[in-house]
Amino acid sequence: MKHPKDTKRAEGALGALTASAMALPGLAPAALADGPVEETSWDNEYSYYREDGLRPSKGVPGADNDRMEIHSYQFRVATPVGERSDLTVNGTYESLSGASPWFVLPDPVDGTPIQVMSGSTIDEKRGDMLATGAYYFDQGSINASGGFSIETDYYSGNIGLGAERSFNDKNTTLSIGASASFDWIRPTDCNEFDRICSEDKQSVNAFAGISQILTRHSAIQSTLGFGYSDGFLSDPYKRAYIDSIGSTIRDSRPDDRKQFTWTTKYRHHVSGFNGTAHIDYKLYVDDWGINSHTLDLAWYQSIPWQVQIVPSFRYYSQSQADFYEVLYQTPRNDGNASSDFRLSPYGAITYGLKLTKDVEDWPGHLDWQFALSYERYESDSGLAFQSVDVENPGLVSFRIFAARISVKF
Amino acid sequence: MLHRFPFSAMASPCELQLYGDDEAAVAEAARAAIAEVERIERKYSRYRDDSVLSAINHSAGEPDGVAVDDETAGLLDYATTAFEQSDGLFDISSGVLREVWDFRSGRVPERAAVERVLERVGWQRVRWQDGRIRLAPGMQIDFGGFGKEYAADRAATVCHEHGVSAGLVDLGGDISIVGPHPDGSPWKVGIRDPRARDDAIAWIPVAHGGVATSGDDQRCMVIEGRRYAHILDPRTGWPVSGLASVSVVAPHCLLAGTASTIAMLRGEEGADWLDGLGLPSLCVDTEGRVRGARGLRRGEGRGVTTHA
Repeated sequence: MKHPKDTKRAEGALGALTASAMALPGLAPAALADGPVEETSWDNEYSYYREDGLRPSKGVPGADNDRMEIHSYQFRVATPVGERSDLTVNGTYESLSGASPWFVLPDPVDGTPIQVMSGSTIDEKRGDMLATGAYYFDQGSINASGGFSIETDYYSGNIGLGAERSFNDKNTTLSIGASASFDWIRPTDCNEFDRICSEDKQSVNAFAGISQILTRHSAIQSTLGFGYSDGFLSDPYKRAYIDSIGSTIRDSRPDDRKQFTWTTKYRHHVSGFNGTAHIDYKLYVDDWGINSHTLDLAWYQSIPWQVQIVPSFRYYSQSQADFYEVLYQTPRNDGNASSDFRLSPYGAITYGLKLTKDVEDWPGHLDWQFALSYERYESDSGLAFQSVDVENPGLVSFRIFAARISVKF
Repeated sequence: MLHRFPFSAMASPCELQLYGDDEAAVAEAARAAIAEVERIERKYSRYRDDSVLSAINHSAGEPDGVAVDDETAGLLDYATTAFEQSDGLFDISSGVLREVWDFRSGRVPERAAVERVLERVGWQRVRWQDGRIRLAPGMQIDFGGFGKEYAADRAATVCHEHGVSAGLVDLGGDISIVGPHPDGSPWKVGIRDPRARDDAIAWIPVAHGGVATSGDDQRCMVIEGRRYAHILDPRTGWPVSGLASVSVVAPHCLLAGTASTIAMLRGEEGADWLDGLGLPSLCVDTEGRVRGARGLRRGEGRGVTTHA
């Protein structure tokens, strides 16, 4: 004999009591939250990413309009190592196929830009791995990581260091970190298609952040990041059309780039609804002239039967790179040229829904979590903050389905 | 290796079971944890005139009440939440009902006497705001409903701060886990059969958090042929029938204790209510039958601490 109303009220009661207990000075959770993981966990996620086909009006009449699709398998293993440290390994294996934007041409009839695709020639595999080790002190932790990514035409390695220190009864936490990556680019068919055959680039990134527990129901985190890249930053598989020469030239971008980010995340638990609001804002500015704003909203709603529903919404708007043009009249004096839609002015919205279900102590006396999610992303010049004169015809929209199984041992 | 430190506090047999290779370091952790339990006992004892709790109770009727420190404020906030979430069943001002209920005597008080005492019961009559608590004349509060559980959690935290990561704190059957056995396996906490004191009727694997039990068969009383638990409904002033004992596992001993107390006070519906909380639990009714058992296992356990 169960009373659904009682069940609902009881779950709310546990949330309220837990929040109240957390607010007690020096009760276990704050001290434990910063420690190493306490049990080995294994997460597996399969996702399917599929881009919408190019709209017929945006492409070459009669051409195949299919774009990319990616099947991706990701795993994550986290395990305690001794009493004060843990090790986390993340890996991805994915298979990419389809076509991507190659260059933009003016329509012979009315001069509007139309997107020429690479043709469905892409069929690639990509694998990456990242290992992170962390050591925990009473008031903080340090971590080091190393990883690599391998594709047919791209090899990348990276290392990172980070540290965290908490103050003020662990209500305040400062984090800093730095990483470096080294990328080697070896485009396929470089002789047939007038591409560079071998290039490289190096990047360094650093961040500093502070997180603060505001009340028993809310917390805020703010992080400043800086990145610097040097080397070959162009896209070897893209070209740009120059009207005065009536032909395309290689995509060519500056050989260095400075990027700044400022991210603020706010969490607010509403005990009456047994849910938590996530509100994130990110400002991005780089010295190519792109700045962007990202607003992320998500609501984590717990319902009975240990199920959580997470609807989410994201708004994104960016300005264009200084040297970007969808079609160039004449070559630029600095030699830069790119008609990549990712450097164009546009806005995008993403909406998603995620469902998770916890199953404790089953089977094999293990704790399991199952998750299903769907995300829809749509970009359009009309969604940008600023008005856009000419939309890049290559703007992409896609959807992602993902299924995850996690288990704790 | 496992070190055991038995001691006595809060009118209960207590024990620390802590793992560690450095015996001196473990002993120091135990000393600090026991000192923390004793500190909380002194601070919130009803029987000590110099306790913070006595200062609050002595101030009953004073218009300005008394200001309290952060720890006490946190506990009063917690008590407020528990009161609200239990629809007034969990009430730290209900202790004055003991003036008319003497369970050892087995005598039932006059209804009128119960009604008179009830006028001095009710957390909604307490003004608790801006760090000051103001009790109406004749009111008293006590932390008996969660002080021991809070002390168990604090002692476990102190053990952590002293570098102990495997062990448990047992304050008279209220258990706070410092951490699982060094091989990662959970502690197996036995739930004693209220009718056969030495036998565990079930056990609960617990790697983290705490276990608490409310109710005790020895403290049942029979009134007009019906068995009542030794626990009083602050809204009626009358004992509750239905459950004899409730054990709950929760992320903290404090939560486990509050949940088990509220379940007891809900009587017959307590088992369903606990089911809704989603916490492993075991209820035994006043006839000795197991009423709700969630997340429990039968069988032999290793490292058993058997308490009911």
